[in-house]
Amino acid sequence: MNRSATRLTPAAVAAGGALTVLALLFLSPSLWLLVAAFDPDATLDFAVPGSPSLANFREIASWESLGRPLLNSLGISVLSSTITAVCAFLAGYPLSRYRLRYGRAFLYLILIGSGLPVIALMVPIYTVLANNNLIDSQVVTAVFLATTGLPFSIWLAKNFIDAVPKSVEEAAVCDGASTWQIMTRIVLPLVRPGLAVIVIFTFIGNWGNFFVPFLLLLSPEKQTASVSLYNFFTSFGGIFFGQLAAYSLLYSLPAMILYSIISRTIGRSFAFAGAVKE
Amino acid sequence: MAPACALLLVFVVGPILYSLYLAFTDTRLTGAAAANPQWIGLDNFSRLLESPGLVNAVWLTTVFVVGSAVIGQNVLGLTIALLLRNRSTLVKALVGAVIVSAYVFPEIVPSFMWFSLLSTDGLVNTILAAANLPAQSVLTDQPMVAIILADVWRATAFSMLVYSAALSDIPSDLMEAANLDGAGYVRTLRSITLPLLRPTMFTNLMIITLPTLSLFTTIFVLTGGGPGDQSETMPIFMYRQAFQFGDLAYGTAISMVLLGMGAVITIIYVLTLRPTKVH
Repeated sequence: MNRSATRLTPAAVAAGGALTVLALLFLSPSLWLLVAAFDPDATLDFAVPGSPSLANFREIASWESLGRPLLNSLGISVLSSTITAVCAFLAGYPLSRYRLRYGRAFLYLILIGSGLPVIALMVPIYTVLANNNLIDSQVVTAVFLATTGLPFSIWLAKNFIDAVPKSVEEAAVCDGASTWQIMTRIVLPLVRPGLAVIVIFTFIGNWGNFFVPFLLLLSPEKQTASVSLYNFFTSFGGIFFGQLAAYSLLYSLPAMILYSIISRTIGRSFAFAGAVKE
Repeated sequence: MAPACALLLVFVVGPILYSLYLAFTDTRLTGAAAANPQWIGLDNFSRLLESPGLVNAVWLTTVFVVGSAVIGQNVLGLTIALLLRNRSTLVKALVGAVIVSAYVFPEIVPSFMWFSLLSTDGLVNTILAAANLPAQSVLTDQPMVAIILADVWRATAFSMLVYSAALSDIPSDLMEAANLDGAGYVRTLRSITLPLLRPTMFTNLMIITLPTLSLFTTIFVLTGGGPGDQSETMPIFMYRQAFQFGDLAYGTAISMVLLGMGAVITIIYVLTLRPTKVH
């Protein structure tokens, strides 16, 4: 506080003002959603809310439109992020520890793969699955989601395993431990926090994904919350905006909470773009 | 490595190879051609090249990527990072949390917010009316503005985080030396900060271009590509042809063009990172 008080120059005041305006502009859409969720009379039109109530939440609280879709989202997201994390660990270990003949090329492919527009795969994927009667399967949807998260997760896993000193493993080798034992008994416990980051990060992505379940799932009873929300929006979005806002809020909350848990670690991974410049 | 490779082969390499075949057939979603697709050679591609839809989609995708990623997210993210520099920890944490919170919403939710904000009597028009300005129906008259606004709002946080990290890596003695030499803020920015940020800017642009290029949900929910085809970017064009008009093979040809656009950008990105990223 003292430091900022001594630096109260016109430039600092101008920057503070600009930041306040920007923060308010960025905050207003979320704030409007929050206000509308607690306003039983909310429509698309902006209005100062009357008495706040939980009426919107009570209205949407049903098994078909809220409980089941959220549970489907949870199941698909947990399954797919678990698959991603296990495969990323199994692939990240040899990439980190051995000088593989094609290791370098594989890493390039992984990097390229993490950038490819997944959306461009959707038409052929849909066609293949439809030809083999695999559309409308939650497991297939989860496995496909898991694969789309793999390239970035393998990259993260390799970096986490790189950080484990090799000397830890050398001691185990002297005691006659097999590679599998080293991986599961020594490296795995050490990279568990890293794997947690991968699980949470891919979970947030899968939880929020709309297009993949929208295309690959058909039955309403298998559908995820994102698609259920979209259906609600197309049928009643303009009329019952308060209920849509309440649903959106409930659906967004898990992602927000999970992100706040990993924000420090993942923020550093995002920042790699700044760190590799030298 | 085997499980990861198997999944990637089945769900990434497989579809890419399969799309190489699919794009040369007349496969459709329903009807006779769905059961018995015929090899029709380059017909889909020649049809695509002659189609005004492709020109429209490539143009709108370019407008969207430049407007949202290159100008919107990139410049705004840099501006916020510069403004946040040297602020107190509290200000940094508060403003950072506000901007990042937009980024963490599941992708479909911001579309609802902006649909309401930009609607005829939404918040934006309420503010315009209060300022005695004419009302705008942005969603129908300026659909590109609407989707760019929504995407910039959602995605700016990433660029802000990247630039904040890069700014904190600039050694403070450089700044102090410049100040001793009597350089003002603008001069320091122009001669020291921005040149040092140039590699970061290049990397950031590469990373944010790809998700912007392939953005589907925000556009699909907010405008659906319309009115007409006025906001029909490549992913929406692909979706409509393949699933609304049922022409899977034609949609595959479009996704191959999209894949090509993404691949070119990614390869440039990987090549520029090569000296430091892969050990």
